[in-house]
Amino acid sequence: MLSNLLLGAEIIFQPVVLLYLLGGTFLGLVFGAIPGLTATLALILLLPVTFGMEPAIGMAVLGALYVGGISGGKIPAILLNMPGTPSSIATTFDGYPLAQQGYPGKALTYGIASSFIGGLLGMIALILLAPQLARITLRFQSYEYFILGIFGLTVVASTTGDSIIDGLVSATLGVLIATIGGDPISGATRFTLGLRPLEGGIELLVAMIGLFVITEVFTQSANVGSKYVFSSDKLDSLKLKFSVLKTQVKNLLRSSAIGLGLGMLPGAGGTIANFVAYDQAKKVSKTPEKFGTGILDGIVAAESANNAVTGGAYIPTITLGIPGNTVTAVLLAGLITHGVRPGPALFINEIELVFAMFIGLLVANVFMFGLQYTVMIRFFTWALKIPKKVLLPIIVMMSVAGTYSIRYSVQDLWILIVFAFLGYLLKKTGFALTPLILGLILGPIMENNLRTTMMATGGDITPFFTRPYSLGLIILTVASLFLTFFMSYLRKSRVEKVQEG
Amino acid sequence: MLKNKNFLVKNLVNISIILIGVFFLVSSFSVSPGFQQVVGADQYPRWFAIILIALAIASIIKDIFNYKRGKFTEELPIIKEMRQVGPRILTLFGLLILNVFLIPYIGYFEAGFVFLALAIFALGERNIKGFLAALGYSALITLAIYIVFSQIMNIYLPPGIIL
Repeated sequence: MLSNLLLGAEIIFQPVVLLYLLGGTFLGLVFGAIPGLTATLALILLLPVTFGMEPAIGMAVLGALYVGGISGGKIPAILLNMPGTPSSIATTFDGYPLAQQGYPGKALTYGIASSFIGGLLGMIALILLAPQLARITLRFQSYEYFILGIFGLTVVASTTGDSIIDGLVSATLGVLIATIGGDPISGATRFTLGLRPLEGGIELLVAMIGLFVITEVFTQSANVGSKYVFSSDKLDSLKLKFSVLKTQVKNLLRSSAIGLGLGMLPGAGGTIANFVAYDQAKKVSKTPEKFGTGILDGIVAAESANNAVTGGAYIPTITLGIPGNTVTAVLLAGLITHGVRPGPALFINEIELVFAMFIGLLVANVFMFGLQYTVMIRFFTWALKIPKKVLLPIIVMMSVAGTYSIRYSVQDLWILIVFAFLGYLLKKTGFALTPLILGLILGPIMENNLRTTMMATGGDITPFFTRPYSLGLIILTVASLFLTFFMSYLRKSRVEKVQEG
Repeated sequence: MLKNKNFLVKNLVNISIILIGVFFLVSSFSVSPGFQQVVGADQYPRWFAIILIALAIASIIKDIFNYKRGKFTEELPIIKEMRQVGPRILTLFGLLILNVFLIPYIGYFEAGFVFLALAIFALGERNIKGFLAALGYSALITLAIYIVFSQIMNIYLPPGIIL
């Protein structure tokens, strides 16, 4: 373990790489801090920029963007009552009231410290747990990988969006779109309509930029004229008192554990984690009535949980090749684009890359703390002065450049337009987009593994049910689907009863 | 049911998804299965096309149930946004298409300048002052993007008449 960490450190602790990480963290913070822009957007937009880097360095930079993007959301949550990212929603509950009382600096300081500690704990857990989990998943064969793909799709489809069926529709559509182009095994051309640009298949990143970035630009253009109202004109002291932090130790540990646990689950992530941690902190508090009035416990719980998610979400992504949320789906796409096959084999074939990613995350966490504590708050007030009418077209310009630079193909730009239209239509009619992206990522992996399995067994499907890991995964998939249906039914009937009452 | 716009739009999307599924299903029969394949290149998408069609039909049935239980009262975001800011979103979409169309003819930066100027103008104040400001912004941004992308990061982008 130590020698591997040193290998990773050797790659990361180079002046240029540290500079890249600093830049990545800073850009992530900017994207996280501007309401409407997210960590996902930052990762998708800047993924093409990492093409020229070594995979280990490129992935570390993407990790830095992720850390920054998740952490930056707290600044507008506290200063404007507008969460910069969905994972900072619970931060507004106490952060904004505390800022309104004249203590925005205090709210930010303890928010930043909690983010740092939560992130650190999550990353330590990642370094300790991921190699152990990879040892188990190394025993997986193509049978398990196919079922794992189905498991990932069904879980994410059933936990994102309002309807399980619509989530599954979205995921299946993604799987089908991924079959366009050359067949990975036989080379046969499929569903190209005779169009040459489609023969190479749909480039994952092009679909992602269209579905997430351009769709988000259209959505944001709806409220282009909105003005930001700050909670307080002045910034109070940013002094961090360790005596105060000491009183939050239990809260920090509990919330970080919640973030880590939820981060590991496919489909969960920062949005759920910060709510659950906030709720738990309130439940165990001796003064639950003070929650929502500007209590530090609320800020600490929400912020430590959403940053601990970062480490947790990496675990299934790199050990199984199943992303925990949209951001890690982009990270997975990053790995694939850099020519690295995700999964437990990474721990054998690409050990340097894995530990460089880990060390990169730790360094980015330190940069996140330093940047937010020093320049970010002032930069944020300046960044918000950039009008959205200028910002949104710039994002489109960058998206076009990013799309073109993947294959140097103008045809890909037309595919981008198709996905932008599809993404907007689906998103605005209630279909979640994350399952679609996951379908695009997992579809080819599932197909390869299913067909390899069928070749090996001569078409016999019984090994799926006789191999213990495979059977376990099938049971897990069916159980999680039924559980989600059941919970959804219970929740809806409860709401109906309340409404009737 | 058909008078309810929300229900109608949601199910038009579902029907479009069914049609996509039908396209994949029908087209899969003209795909070569590949040499000595147990599950051929044609079968995998065929099964997923069938699943997609079944799920989209299930989604329609679910929506009919929801409609009958009076749950289709909330306005769909697409209808709400099109009603409130439809022209703005459609203009932006149209400008994106124009940008992509122009790139092979006049280059990335030149097409980008045109896109930025028109998009900033369309999203901001629509008067002479707003237009001049949009031109100024777009010139500065295009120059900045040119320096960062082409000069610093060496990213190849379609060359044009000037840059």
